Amino acid sequence: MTVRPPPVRTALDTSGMLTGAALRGLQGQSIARLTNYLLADGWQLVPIYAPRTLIGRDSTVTFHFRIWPRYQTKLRWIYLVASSAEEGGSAIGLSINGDAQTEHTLLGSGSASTIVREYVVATRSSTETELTVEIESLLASDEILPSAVTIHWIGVAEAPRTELQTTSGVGSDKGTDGTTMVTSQPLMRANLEGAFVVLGDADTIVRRHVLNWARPVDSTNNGLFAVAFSSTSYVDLFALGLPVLGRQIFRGATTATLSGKIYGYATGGATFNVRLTSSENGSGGAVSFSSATPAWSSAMSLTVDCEDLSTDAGLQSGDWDLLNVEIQRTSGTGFLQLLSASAVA
Amino acid sequence: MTASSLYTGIIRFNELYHRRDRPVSVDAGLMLANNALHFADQAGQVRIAWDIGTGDELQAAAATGTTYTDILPKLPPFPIRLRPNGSTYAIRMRLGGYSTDGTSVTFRAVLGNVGTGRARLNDVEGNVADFTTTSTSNAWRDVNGGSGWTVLEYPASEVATVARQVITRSGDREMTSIALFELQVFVATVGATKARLSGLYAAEYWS
Repeated sequence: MTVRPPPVRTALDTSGMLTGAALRGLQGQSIARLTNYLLADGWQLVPIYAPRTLIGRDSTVTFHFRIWPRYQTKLRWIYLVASSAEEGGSAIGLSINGDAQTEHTLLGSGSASTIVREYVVATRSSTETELTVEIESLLASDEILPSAVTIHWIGVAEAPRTELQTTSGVGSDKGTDGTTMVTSQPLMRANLEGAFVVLGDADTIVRRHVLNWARPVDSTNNGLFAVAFSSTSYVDLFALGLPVLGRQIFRGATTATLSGKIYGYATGGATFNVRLTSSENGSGGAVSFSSATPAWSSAMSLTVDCEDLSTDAGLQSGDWDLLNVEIQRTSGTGFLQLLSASAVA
Repeated sequence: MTASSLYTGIIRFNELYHRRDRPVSVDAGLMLANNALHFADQAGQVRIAWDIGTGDELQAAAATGTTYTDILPKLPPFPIRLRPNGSTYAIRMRLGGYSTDGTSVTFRAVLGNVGTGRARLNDVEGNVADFTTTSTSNAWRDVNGGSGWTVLEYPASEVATVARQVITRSGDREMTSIALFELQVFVATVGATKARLSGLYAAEYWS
């Protein structure tokens, strides 16, 4: 069975739900509609950011992101804003997660173009995984002058679902079918099966990617655009720190926990400590990193402010919490070439 | 913010407790309703999260507009959640920037339907915000000053959706309507060449 979720958040009036009475069909349908909306609407996997990456002629670069997707996702949209310095224009090829089908898009010279690339999810999952975006710069003419394609902005969002399965086991959409709720008849557990399964688990239904920054590697796995760290004191990745607010899940909570990783490689046999930091709650625990080839670090956690629904701003104590990534060399004389940083609430 | 749930937080429950051979009580229904409403309040997504490293600021190439000049290149669009009345979730935003020499610079952030660009530059419906500074130090700027926030909203009457293909349950394709928005940043022509944009943050929230 399938159900059509609403495309917008729906209202849910609890004023008529009186203790001691049975739950009515119309009330159950309201619960089903809102739950289905939450399951169907997509998450922003990569908040829009500026990688400021130049790609040379006939070159391929790969961005590595870490995502925590919804199981319900079947389609993702990758948005790029790119421009070509080539007089005759350029073509770029986009491949997602190494899929065989590379789509090519022409870029005229001069002003930047917005490119949208669809990615059909082959195997759906709700577990943490890597998303790679390969971009190839080609020459669209016989021009022999040096070319450059600049990637100005990147963002990745999940497409919504217009239909959900109403089964609730592992590997299903967990939608709730409101048409089974008959007026004047009591509702059984089966009528609201999907809602019972998902409405106790925040990670299934409302994750929030707060950071997904990446600079690419080239075809030989060199981080030409990596940010290099070599200081024996902690140094921040971002100049100001990114504003961050976690989800408030439980009543009275003032903080939330982020989970994050970095991607990069260490040169010269050096070892580094990497940690996430919060301007309001201090630093998270550091993880050691020493991989000589591009790899993801161990998971890091960080306590950050969560939203305060009782204030206009939603800020705890009225101040913004700012998220940063810090890196410190602990041994050796090389560099940490930082390529990606991801964190999710 | 205004919580729409009864408890301002989810209620923990053991789903196995609610047996399949018994009618669902109103108490159980209120618990489900509470959690659905609270999750919907917390479903806002971070749409833009950009902060520079060293030397990565964006600037207007030259003062070209009569009043406001584009800071290029423009950002790509993003989907946005809609409330029951059709208006958008509010956007809580911050803008990072400074002046290179102390000249007063004004950044204007404009939230609009995708493709509207300059057409929304002078809107007065809560979707436009100015950030003015003479500071030569890089920092997050707010309309309210200090360490506050800026809110952008878009009224239901102005929301326009675009058609996009999505995948159905069976793997086919069908068209659906998506609320697709863009956040564009302009800089006042007076002082435009002195303005440096160093960060943008935009996140939805329920209000």
